[in-house]
Amino acid sequence: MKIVIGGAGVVGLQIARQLIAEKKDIVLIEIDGDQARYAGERLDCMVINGAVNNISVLRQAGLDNADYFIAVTGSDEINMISCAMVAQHFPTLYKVARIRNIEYSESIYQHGGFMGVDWVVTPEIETAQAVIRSIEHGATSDVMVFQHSDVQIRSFTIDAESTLVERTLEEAGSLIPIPFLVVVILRGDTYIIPSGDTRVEKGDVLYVVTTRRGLDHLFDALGKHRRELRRIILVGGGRVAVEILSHLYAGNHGTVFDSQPPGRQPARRRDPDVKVIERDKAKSRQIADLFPKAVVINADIGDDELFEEEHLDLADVIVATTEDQELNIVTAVYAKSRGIPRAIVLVGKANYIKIAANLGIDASVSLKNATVDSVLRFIRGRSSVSTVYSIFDGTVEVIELPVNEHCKAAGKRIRDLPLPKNSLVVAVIRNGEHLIPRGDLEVHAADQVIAIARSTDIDRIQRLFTVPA
Amino acid sequence: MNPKLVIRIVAILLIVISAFMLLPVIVALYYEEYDSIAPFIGTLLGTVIVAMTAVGLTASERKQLGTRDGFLMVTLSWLTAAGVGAIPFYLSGSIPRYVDAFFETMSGFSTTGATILTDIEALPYSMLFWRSLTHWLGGMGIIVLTVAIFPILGVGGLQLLKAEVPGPSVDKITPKITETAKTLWLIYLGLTVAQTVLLMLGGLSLFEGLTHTFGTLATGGFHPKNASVGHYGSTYINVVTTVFMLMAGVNFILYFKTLTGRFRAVTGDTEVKAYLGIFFVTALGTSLALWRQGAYSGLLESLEHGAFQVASILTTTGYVTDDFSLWPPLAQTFLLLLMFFGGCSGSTGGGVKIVRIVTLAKLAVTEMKYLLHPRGVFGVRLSGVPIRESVVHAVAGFIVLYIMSLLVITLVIGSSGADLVSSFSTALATLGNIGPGFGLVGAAENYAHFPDYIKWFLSLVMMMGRLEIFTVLILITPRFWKP
Repeated sequence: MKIVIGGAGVVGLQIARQLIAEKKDIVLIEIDGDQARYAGERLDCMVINGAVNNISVLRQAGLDNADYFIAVTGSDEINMISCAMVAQHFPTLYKVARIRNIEYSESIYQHGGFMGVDWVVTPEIETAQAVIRSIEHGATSDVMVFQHSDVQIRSFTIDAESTLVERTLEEAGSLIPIPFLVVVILRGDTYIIPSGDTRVEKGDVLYVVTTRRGLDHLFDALGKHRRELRRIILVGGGRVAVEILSHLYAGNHGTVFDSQPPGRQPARRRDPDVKVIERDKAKSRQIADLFPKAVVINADIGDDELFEEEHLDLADVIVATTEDQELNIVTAVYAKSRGIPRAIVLVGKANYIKIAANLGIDASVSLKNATVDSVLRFIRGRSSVSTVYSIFDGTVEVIELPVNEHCKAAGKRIRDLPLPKNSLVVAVIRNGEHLIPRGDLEVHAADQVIAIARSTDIDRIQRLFTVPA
Repeated sequence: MNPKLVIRIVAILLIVISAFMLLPVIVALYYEEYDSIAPFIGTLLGTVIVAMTAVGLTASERKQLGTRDGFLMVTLSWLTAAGVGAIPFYLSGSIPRYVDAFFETMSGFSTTGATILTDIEALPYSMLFWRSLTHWLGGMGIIVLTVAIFPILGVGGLQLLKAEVPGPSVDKITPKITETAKTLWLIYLGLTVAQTVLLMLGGLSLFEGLTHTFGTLATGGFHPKNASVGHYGSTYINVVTTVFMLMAGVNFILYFKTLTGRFRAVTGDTEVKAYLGIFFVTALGTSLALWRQGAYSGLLESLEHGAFQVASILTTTGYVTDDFSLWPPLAQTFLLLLMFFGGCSGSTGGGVKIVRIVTLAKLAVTEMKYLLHPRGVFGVRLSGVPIRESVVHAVAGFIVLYIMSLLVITLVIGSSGADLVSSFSTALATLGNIGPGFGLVGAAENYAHFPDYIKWFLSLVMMMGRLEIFTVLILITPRFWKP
């Protein structure tokens, strides 16, 4: 499969890196000479130094035999126009564009193929959705939800009060009366695919698979008591914050508790009690005008008196979304020390996600990851994968995919599957029911399989389940 | 400044107004009041000759009309219209003194309804028709003015309703001013026909139906009967009049929106909601006060009269079904408070206007929020749309000016020897274009007893109130006349 990526910025490079790991042919187009050289030196792909919106450069990139064109330059307009040019000259390609300006969003979402773009990535919206998902699930962790079942993967930071500290996973399994599976543990800079006798340490981040129903027990056992998050503090009034606010006040989000018995309609919830702290006066005014129900405070979050003045420590969760990621982390840590039980931060750099987890911040979302995940989801979606999450800066991915009737895996027991090293089938969903993938479970056609693997092995897993033998 | 063009426009307007004098001539012919024909025709001809001369002298001037010309034009229009409209009353001897005729006509064109007549029914039909027609013309003028011209001058409550959001202005209902004006005239005409027909179904003659309707839709208050609407003692007439008074107090643009199917714009309108809310609460309060006192036989009759009088004062019409100065004190207090409010912006009603009251009330709530969150950012919203801070300040400025004007007017009236209640309620009733007040100007009284200088003064006050104060006051500031 050949993919042409326009723009070798942070996002372009990350997408290229993950796709190269899957043995895809990548061509990068970058206008900046230094950046192009940097990409060429570090990535195993072709790099063209030229303008993305130049048809001869596009031809040179070999679009005539490519499958995807992904425009992720810094400019919305260049992204759209290059997609339009590609659409005109190479109509069979799938075209993906990153568009950040919300002014365009109405035309994009209403008219489908706007300017020939097949898939629009709006990082702020994706990020806001990640934050909302986290808030709705109690902001205890990062949340991965899947399309075909109520199975979730959650990350849990183990703190000192947790009953699991210094226990093996086997002991943990007997302590907690519901089925769950720890699929991967993040410890410091490394990650471990655990076995039954792996011992949990303080500061570990556990990625756990379970159903919604089982969560409450887990939360108790892990020392995190679930609470309704009604009083929300939003630090920063940027575009991510605006998207979060419009979700919060749209009324279309369910309850904060996700342990609703299935089938029962969630009760119509009261509007959340949101305080927005924004330093810039004009921005504050803009948000106050857009969201009359929110209390907008024009102040610096670094101002210590603000906590007393606005009783910020009574909040249930603080969401730091300023453009300054260090400030976000510091704010979240300080807020937690003042007694705010949950904190979510917006970060940019990948290693900051680990740092944030180590500092006890409950969940971190990243604009870059949201963008990359969205692009990958589209590309995989073309080949029947429905959900993609990348973790550990894209070195590990979680995918959801259907089992093909004639594939190699159909009818085999899990222990007999030729799975790549360090990969794991974490859940099998049959007729909407979640099955624990023990070694003797047979994989049937039409099952949905959720698997975790290194990025480099994703392609093999995909072939194993979806390509007819 | 372009005074020649101002004179030209005012002259053309006078020709139009005097052309309307042909209508009372028809009435005179029908009722065989041949003595009244000469004053109307004489005034008509005189005005046309003078005005045509003025138009001829000011021809071929540049067509640019500035903001200052606008203020001058509007004020001059009302002054000269009253000046000319008073002439038939004076010539015919129906109102023997010109000062009285001028007061009566200004009261008509400003849709106030304050009268100097002690025996209205003594006047010929044609004169009564002209008297009511000045209301109708004034009401029509004020609608066009508030919708088409005041926004350009930056006065009036309507700029508040203009959305402070990008996109075409919400309240420009058609792209051109002339089109907008035409549409509103048609709505006004339609309402006139509807009410006249309904009144005639209740047994009124065409003459009574029309004059009664003119006084209602313009929220004026002139009535051809001495006892005003109370003359008929008919529940049907009272209910129809109550409904139409309320309708005249609503922003006319909303009728246009209703006709074009934009119901959401109407149901979401903060001003109308507040207006109806104030009406229902005070009508209920007044009626209960009447009922408790036993002033009327039973709750229903109390409701009928209470609702009528509340609608009449709230919309600044000034019709009465009964002498409310004999009502229980609580009911009178309700009416006195209502004299501050007035109708909606873009209606024929006078007073402070509901939109300003609502804005200021919301500003007060916002101030309380600032006490709780000193560094918070809050705004005032109308119909869900944030209002710019400078507009909110303009509203506060207007209300302060309104109150200060009331105090000054009260003092001036007091100089004639009138008591406090009479002076203050006269100030309210004239500046708010209501008509009747309390004490010497109560429901059963009139303005005849004031000395001449008070009558001249009140004529100007009525015009000032009608033209949103600023329009008139700005003419006496030296800065206005500096180039």
